[in-house]
Amino acid sequence: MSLTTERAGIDQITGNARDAIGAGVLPEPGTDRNVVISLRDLNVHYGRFHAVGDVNLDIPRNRITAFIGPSGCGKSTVLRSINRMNDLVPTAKVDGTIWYHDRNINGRDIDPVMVRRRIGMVFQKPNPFPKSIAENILWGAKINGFTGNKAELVESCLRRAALWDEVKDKLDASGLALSGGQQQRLCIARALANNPDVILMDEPASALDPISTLKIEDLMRELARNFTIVIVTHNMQQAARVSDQTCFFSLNEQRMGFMVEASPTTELFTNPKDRRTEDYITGRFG
Amino acid sequence: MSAQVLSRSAESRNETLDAGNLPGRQRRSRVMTGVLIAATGIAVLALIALLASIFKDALPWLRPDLLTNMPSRKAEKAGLYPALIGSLWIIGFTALFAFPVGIGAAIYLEEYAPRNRLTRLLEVNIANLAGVPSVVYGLLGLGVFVTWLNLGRSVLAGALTMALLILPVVIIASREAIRAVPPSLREAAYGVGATKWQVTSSHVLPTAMPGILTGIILATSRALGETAPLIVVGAAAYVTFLPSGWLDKYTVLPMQIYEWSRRPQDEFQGLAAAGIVVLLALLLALNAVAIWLRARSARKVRW
Repeated sequence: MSLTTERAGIDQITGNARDAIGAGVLPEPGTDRNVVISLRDLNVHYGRFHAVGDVNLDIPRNRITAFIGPSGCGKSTVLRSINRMNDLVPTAKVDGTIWYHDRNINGRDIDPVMVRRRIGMVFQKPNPFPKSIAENILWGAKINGFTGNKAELVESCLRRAALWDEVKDKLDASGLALSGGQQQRLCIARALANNPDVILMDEPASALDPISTLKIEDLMRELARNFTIVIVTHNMQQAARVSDQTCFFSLNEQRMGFMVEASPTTELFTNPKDRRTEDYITGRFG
Repeated sequence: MSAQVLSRSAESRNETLDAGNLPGRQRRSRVMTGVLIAATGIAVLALIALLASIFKDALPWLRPDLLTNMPSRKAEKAGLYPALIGSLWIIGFTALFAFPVGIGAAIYLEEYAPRNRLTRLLEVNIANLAGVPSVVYGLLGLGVFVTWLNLGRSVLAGALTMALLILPVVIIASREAIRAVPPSLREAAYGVGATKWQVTSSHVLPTAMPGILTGIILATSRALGETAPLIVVGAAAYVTFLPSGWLDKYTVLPMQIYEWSRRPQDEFQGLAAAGIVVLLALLLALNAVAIWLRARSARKVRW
């Protein structure tokens, strides 16, 4: 289908980022313009529970990076660390550095609210605001000081989220009156309204039917032209279909999650470097 | 082997439609339906009997000048105008003090407070305060507002005492409503770069508002019917003037009803019943306003 033809191969990633993904040796953070986010020695604790250990990963610009792995392996935890959503969990403690270009956004001097403007998020269950479709898009922009043309912003976000044609005549209707798939695309449009750099998606299609899922996947490929996307998915086929880079997470006997390997997607699924990855993708996990 | 198992189970299967112990179970079910209807009936009948007896006594005394006359030693000229106005003053100021403080405390406890021992201790104590007899609040009001702050027997002292009385109920009801707001809504708002206050004011509060309104109106209704604390902080029993400011003396409807019901003459018993009808009407009006407000605020949130 159209996804595969449109798909930007990992070959197009240049410079250090490609070496990094290929060789497993990560360059100095902030030195490569093609790396948007670099995780270094990321560790997450929930109270005394060590949830994720020592994640090192580079996330390339305008590419889709997928996190796969069994339940409880910490892939969502890592994702939510990137835009500081874990700050909302009272017991969570995130150690290590998260480089966003050349700044450590996990630093104490960084306001998480600022981070979330640049790094948007789409959640597992569609969660539009109980407001009109237009207001869903405008609210985030408004609180961040948007003063431009509202109608234009609504239209451009909805168009980029491939929702405009379906809702252009009912912008005043409640966002919750839409179908599940439409709601999720509205949530993507809402994330676009702040003109973010990175969009994090936490199993964005797991609550949707197959047709809506394909629409979301098409949309992700389209968005990857202009945005850097990180997606958590339970669905290995989805990771194989949409992503450029895939990271496989697993968990050890203490139920601590860790990253087994990060490779260009085709490589990970055809020629995994690690035995554990191979076991998982061939269904011999456990 | 498996074929054998299958055929044996087919043989032993009971193919007649047998009622078994079902008649007994159904009988018990019918009996319980009757018991539950009886329980509801007793409650409703008691209420109807009470209202009927009050209306029977009140009917001869329910006339327009009851609402506009001052109290009088002569039953036929007596009215409850000052008590009605006094009740409105007290309720108005009670709401003014209790609502912002109560909702504010609820927001803090639900959205801001760290989940630790101190918070839990606070929560338990607030729940306990809701169960303290109202006369105790009266004594507190007498000590703090009437004497220490030297407010005397004023509307302000009464309203502050009433505000303290309903504060725990307002806090508890508001917290329940805020807690019922789905966490995914908060995440959505944080996700687009909102601050805590933006999340709270634009999403959590509007969504919780119908529930909060229900709770605080119920609390206000309770304050409207309270007498004990106001006796302690010095609501007057016989008032022939209207309060014109918040430092004036006052009386309230329950006080006036109590004062009339203490008198031996039958006429004043009728007046007391008429006063109760007026108080009930005021409560109903208040609840009607609450329902209207609730519907209005529910419309703003577009589920």
